[in-house]
Amino acid sequence: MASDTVPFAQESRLLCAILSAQTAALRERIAGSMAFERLMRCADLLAGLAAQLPAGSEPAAAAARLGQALDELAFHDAQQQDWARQTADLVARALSLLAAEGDPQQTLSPGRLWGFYVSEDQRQLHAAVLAEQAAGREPERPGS
Amino acid sequence: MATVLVLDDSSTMVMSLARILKKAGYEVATATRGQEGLAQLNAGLKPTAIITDLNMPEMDGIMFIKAVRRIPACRFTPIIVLTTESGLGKSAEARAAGATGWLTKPTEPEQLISTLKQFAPA
Repeated sequence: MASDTVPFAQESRLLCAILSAQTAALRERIAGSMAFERLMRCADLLAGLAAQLPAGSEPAAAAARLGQALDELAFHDAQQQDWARQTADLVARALSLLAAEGDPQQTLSPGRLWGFYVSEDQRQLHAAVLAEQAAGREPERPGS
Repeated sequence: MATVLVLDDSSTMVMSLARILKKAGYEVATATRGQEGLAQLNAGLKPTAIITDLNMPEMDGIMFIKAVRRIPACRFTPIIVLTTESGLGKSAEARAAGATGWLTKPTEPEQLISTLKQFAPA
């Protein structure tokens, strides 16, 4: 029984390390993504302002350029939010599988977690954590 | 005026895409679920092009593309996938299902419009 417990605990630590890193990356992205609605509101205000200015005037053109820049920022922000949301989805899915670990059909492994990813960013982070964990364990291996 | 159907389960993405496309001169129809998009097509919407996400609940982008290709009026409608996924396998799967183009998020508005114009001038 004890020999079964040790490998499972090691794998659990590995999974927690991967999920922790994924969540940290998610937080970082979310921190920069709350501006979406404000950007859209500012772009709308600028569009309203441009409509009040004489058509073809330099101020109207400047307001339109600013509005365009804000729309581009909002588009970039929306894509960052999308990435963050999808990462949150996979973490939630992985955690729910871990919560149901008593069922052999529901167990989670790093390899299965890899199958949940939807972007190269996620796969690269996973691989980096595996490499770090492998490097960290290396000195503890018997005979190494 | 050319109409683009935008499908993404992120309402933020849908709002932002619609805004970018309208400014580029397109009419825009939107959906946040594959079934919702299919319902619009089956109800007679004839978009000049479709932009769809890949990773969505219930009906993913691959299933959606296959379903679109089964609608006679949409057999040849350009379908551009806009997704966080950049794996070659997924891209090949989408193309086999009937996707016409592929863009990986994050992308720039200019890139999106440029790709769209290859298939559907505004």
